[in-house]
Parts: sequence; structure tokens; C-alpha cells
Amino acid sequence: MAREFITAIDVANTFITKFKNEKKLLKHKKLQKLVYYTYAMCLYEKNVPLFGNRDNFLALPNGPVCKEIYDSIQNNKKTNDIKECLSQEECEDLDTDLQEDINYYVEEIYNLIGDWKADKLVHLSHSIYGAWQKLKEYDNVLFYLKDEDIKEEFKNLFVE
Amino acid sequence: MKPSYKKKPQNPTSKPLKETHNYPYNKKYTTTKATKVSKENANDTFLNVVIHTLSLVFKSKIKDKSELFMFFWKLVFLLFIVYLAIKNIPKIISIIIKNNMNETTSCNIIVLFGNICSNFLEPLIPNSFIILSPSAIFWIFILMVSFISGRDLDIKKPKYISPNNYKNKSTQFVKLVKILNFIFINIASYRGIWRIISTLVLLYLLIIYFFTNKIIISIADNIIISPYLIFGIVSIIMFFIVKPKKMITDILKNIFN
Repeated sequence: MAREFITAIDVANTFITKFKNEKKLLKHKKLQKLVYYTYAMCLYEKNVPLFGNRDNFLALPNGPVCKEIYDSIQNNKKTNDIKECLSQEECEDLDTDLQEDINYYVEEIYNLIGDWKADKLVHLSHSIYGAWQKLKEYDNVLFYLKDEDIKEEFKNLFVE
Repeated sequence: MKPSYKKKPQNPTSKPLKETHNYPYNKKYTTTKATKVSKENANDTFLNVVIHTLSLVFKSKIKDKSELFMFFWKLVFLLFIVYLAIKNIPKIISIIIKNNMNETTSCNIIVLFGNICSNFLEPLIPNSFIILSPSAIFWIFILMVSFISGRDLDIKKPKYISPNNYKNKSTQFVKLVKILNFIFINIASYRGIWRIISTLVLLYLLIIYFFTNKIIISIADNIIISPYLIFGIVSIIMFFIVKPKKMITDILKNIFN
């Protein structure tokens, strides 16, 4: 039976496949940012998270980072290929409709910021409009970015 | 570790979303503003990373550049105090030895100096800045005294002071004060096992200060402050008993030379 929910790894794998087909380089830092903005776009359009329920993104010094992808890559550091770090086999059973949804968002984000360098994306995620910066406004120092802030960030940065 | 997938109940994304998208891809999003923001932010990224890392490490709210600079000013202030202490403590100790003061007085002078430092600095230090809390300064000070007096200077180490040496018969309260005085002075004199235990305890407390949240720090504060008062009272009493006027003037002259 096909899996009926999306994970961060699914989105990451779709990006990796996309970049591989285009014969472009994709590093971990860039992948994290692309997945982040994909998630943000879905939140903005549908008001629902693309994957997970909440607390999907950690605020680390280089910007928002998806813990699931980060752990997966950190635990398999021996290989240089990002794709090998993520468990592709387990992602293959995803429902085709859901995979098309992912493809849509990945395509949109790829067209928007796919050419941007990783550092440029890091700078973007550090902006005052970003959820990463807004984290400091809360009383307790949180490590997880709030979905409302992520949505607001996307609106401020990419919507005319 | 491979990610394990869990069946999530009623995940909103389990329904296909694509029907509502307009294919081919509409061009309602632009990167004009994002590009501008990214360029502007490129200059501030290093500062942002520093601010963010510090706020995570110290659990304090450093929101912008001005607060970051305040943080560094305070750090400079702390380093200045540390510098003063390093510069002056050997002098103070040497004066104490020259004047043939007994060990109790010398320990009490050190304790009193730490106490004065921490108490007088307290109003200057905002609560949000954990690294410069008075107790932290005090313990850093005591740690430095222990290392400087024990290692760098070839001075006569203070002896143990047994409570039995107090010949005067006293009330229960005075006895308690004397016992506490004995304990803390022995800690301050850092001999043998006392030195190891107290150093470990102090390091543990310092680690608490630097890396834990405010609740634990406030508890630690309460623990530290009570011996403080005893230290202060005992040391002031000792000063009046011994009347080391010459020594105080010598110390002051040396400090402000």
C-alpha cells in the first residue's frame, strides 16, 4: 500500500533528483534552504505544512535546518554523495498524487531560487523578515521555527 | 540511523493538493525583493551568526548589534577586573607575609576583597547578563587566588585552622560562626583534599553559570550568597580584632600605585 504522508526526505530526494537531471551541484547547505522554502511555499499557499506536523526546522547558525535531513546526512557522513545519505528506498513507496504535489513545489522553488548559491540563500534566511531572526523576539530562546513566521517570511520575500 | 516513518493520523497533506495549482506554473512569485534582502543581509551575516550563537549559548536575549556591543563591553569589563585581580593579589599576599599576619587574617582579606568586589559591582550588572553575575565574579576571583597563591608564588601556604584552637568559650551562635569560618577558610586556603574538592565544586558551579538556564542559576545563587554573608561578617570582625591598619594602607598604596 502506498504511503499517504510526505516526509522531509521525500522533498530532499526530489530536489536531489532534479539537480542530478540538470547536472548541477547540490550541497547540503543549499538543499536545506531549498527544502525550507518549499515548506514555506506550501504553508503560504495551503496553510498546511508540506511534511511533518510542527517543529520541523531548527534554528542553527547557518539558518533554518530540517532535523530529519540533517540527522540522516550526519549519520552517514562517510559517503560524499548526498543521495546515498538519504534513504531512497523507503521513499519510493510514496503515493503518486503526493509525489506530484512535491514535484509542483520543488519545480516552483527551483525556478525561483534554484540558481542561487548556498551563501546567498543563507543570507536570505538571516534577513529581518525571516523566522530565524524572529526567534529572538520570544521570551524563551526557542530552537524551533514557528510555522506562522515561516509563512510570513515567504510572503514578505517572494510575493509581490 | 535511517529515518523511521510513522503513520500520522489525519495529516492534512495526505490529500492531493495539485488540483488547485494552475499548470503550467504561474509566475506569481518574484525574487526581486528576496535578492535585495539577501544582498543587504550579506554584510550583516557574520554579526547575525555571532549574535545568534551567543544567544543560544548563554540563553540570553541578544537581539541586535547594540546588545552585542554591550555584551562585549561587559566582557571587557570582566576581563579588566580579572586583570586587576591578577595584578594585585600577589602584592597583597606578599604584604600580608611581610607583615607577619596570621593565616586567618590573610584568608579573610582575600574573602573580603572578593566580597567587596561582588557586592559593589552588583548594581552595575544587569540580571540578564549571566556571565557577570556577582557570584560568578567572586568564584572566578577565588579560583584565581588559589592558582596564583598555590603555584606561581613561592609563598608559605596557610595552615589548617582547627575549631579547637578557639580557646574562648562561646555561645552556640558564635560556635556555629566559628565552625563555618573554619570550613570556608579551609576552602579558601586550598590545602590538600580541600583544594581538590573546592576546585571541583567551583568548576561545577561555573559550568552551571555558563550553560544552564536561569532557574538553576537562581538556586545556585542562593546557595552561594549565604556563605557570602558569613564570610563578610567574619572577615569584618577579624579586621577589627587584628587592627591591621598598617597593612591596609600598604595594600591600598600598592593597588593604586
